[in-house]
Amino acid sequence: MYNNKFFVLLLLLFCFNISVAQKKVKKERLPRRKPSFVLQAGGGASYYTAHVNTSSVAYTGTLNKWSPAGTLRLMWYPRYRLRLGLETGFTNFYRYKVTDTSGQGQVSLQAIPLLVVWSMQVLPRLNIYAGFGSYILKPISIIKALSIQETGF
Amino acid sequence: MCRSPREIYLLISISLFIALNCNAQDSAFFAKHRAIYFPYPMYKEQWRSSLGFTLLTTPQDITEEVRLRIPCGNFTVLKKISNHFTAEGRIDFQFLQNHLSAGVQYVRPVSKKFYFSAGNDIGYWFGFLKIDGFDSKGSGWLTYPSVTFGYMTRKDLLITLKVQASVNLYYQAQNGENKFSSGKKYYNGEAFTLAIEQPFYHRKHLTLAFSAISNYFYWQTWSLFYKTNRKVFYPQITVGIIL
Amino acid sequence: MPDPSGWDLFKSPAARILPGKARQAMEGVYTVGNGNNTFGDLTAIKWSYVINTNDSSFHVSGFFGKDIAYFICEGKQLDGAIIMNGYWRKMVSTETGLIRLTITAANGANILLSPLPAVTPGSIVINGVFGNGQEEPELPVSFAYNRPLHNSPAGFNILAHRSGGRNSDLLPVSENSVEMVLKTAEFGSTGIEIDVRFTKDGIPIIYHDNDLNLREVQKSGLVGPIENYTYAQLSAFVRLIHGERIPTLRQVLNTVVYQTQLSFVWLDTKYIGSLEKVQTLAQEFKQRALQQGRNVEIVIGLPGRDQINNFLSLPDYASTPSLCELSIEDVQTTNARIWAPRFTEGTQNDKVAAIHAQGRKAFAWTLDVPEFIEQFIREGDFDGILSNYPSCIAYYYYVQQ
Repeated sequence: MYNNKFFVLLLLLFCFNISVAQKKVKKERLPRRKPSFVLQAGGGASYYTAHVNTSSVAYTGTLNKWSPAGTLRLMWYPRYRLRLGLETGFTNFYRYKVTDTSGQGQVSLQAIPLLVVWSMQVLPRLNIYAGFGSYILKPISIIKALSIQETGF
Repeated sequence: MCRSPREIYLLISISLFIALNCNAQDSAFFAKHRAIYFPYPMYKEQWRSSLGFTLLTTPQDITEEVRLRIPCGNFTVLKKISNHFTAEGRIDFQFLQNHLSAGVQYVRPVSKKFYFSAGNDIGYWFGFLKIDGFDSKGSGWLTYPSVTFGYMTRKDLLITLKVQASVNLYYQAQNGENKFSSGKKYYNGEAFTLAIEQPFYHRKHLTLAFSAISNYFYWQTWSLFYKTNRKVFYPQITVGIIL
Repeated sequence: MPDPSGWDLFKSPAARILPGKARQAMEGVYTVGNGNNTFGDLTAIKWSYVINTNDSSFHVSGFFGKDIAYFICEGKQLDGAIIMNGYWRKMVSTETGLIRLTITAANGANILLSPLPAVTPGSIVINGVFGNGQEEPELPVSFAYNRPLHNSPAGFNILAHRSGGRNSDLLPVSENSVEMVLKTAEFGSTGIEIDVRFTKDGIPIIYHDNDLNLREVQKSGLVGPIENYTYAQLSAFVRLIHGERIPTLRQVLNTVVYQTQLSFVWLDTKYIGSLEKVQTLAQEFKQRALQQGRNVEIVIGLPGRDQINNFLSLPDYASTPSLCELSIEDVQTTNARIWAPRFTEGTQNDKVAAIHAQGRKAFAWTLDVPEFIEQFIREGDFDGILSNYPSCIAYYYYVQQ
């Protein structure tokens, strides 16, 4: 007579397969809440982290990369953890002054972001955000020029 | 060699389990995943294929105001050779410039979640430009050794990292009646591709891949320059639907 | 570019400037002995100069046939020998390094420094060392005089794209800058192509792209189309990638006429609008060059139909020197002195012959592949070639026999 352990082994093996299948079914969770849209507005300070080498033009010490910033974000909260949205706002990347043989003036580079944003709730009261997109750049430059050409061009 | 009935029964039982699970795994893989990049052995399948396109960004400091913004279509097909060897063919087409490649991959599961493959492709590119001011043709051969690592998540997502080198074998260009060819072989550069493959819509599966390509020569820029004096970085996005 | 100032002997107070006759006699095709694995078998050695406020500076360049290599040195005489100090570069890669060369009295310096130098094959041998990067040069290099430089009776224009080469070629100065105009003859150029645009206040400037971007200028806060800015704004806020100002057309032409030996300027018209100011400046500086006893040809480039129409509306277009990139019929309509087809149509010897029969010249652009440069010089009949690598054109032109 063959030992029943072999049948037990086979049974265990097939049970394993069934348990895997059942586990998959359990993972199909029901929605936790209704999808919704959320509008978020925020403000604060921004710092332009990229390198700016204006040493050959800027008046020493006038380069300023800090600026007040405002954001407006429209988020879609679906049933799931990952959320999607659009973000815009306003900031000033950097500004500096110039004193040059050709004139005196100042430059500031304003920027309006147009971003697609993802967010994820990592803790009940903690969300992380990430996004990518473009910035509409608007340079503002004011120059008090000195004459440069003896014949005009 | 004589074995006891008990041993035979045990052997059959375990073999049956392995076979059932391998089949289940393969069938499950085919039903759930369907991958082109992911290095999964073709246990049951004979063919896998994908249709898609790539978008390449050319570096502004090299190509200046000429930016390639035309998507490049591609069709990829995998053919089973054996459980661990897969043949791969790929066509990249932009009509005025095209690239064909074929190669073999050795595919090996490392564990239930990790997979690995290594192989080599041979590529041939050709292009022609006969518009105002141009009477140009170009073609060339390259070889692409590669290794691929795959990670299967608990859900339906397949994550693949492919590291591919390219070696230039032959280059030929013609402008009007003037021809130039070079059989000089040189290391051309490397590409790192991170791909995700997952179900998309109506049992269709989607490939999304980002490639960081760093080359002296890239076939899509043959009409702009022959070879750059340093390796140039080309980011590329690939989108494909697995058929 | 490596800094060659570390050779103490070259800085010796006893080292003096070379006489003009020695420089002229030294020019020629040399056989490369030591170092031919790196540089190839031949080099064409040529001197160039620029005129500064108080003096002139001279450089000797050697153009090689392998990997678009060249060296550029300053030269002096010291204790009866000639010493040359500078750097070498390969344009097909980023390889560069220092080079130090010497012609001893016995190896030909006594001939070159004589009142009437007469050079024969083998009479001058240049020995020296070169190295990689900034490292102390130790690898031996030697050149032996072989023959004079080739010079066809009709002359040949070696034209530098964007006044000397693109920014992507990693040159020590920016493309389309006054500084590049002063350097371009060191690369073998006899003429330049520069890109003309206009500022918001109507000043013709030299700049290639249609917008301010990080390929051409340092980050300044000014972005977008360059014609949105006045010259004062550009001059005050914007610097080219190596720190130079965007030059006006006047500044560049002034530099060409008064400070260089360049004989040809191709004004590539990058804008669509009136060509009147460009015509006025071209005529003014042509006259200024003649007053200096120099013949500098300044032509207005006509790359497209719009520029041709604007050119035809000029009062004296038929007598205004121009260069037409379109068909031979357009060349005749505009009475362009030069037909300049893209090189991608081949040498087209039959069409070039037809242009020559009309008393015009033909230039090819922009030719950068050495194998094609060699073919165009050997098999073609063009009167000039535009390239980002004028040193490569110089090599294949001067070594012809």
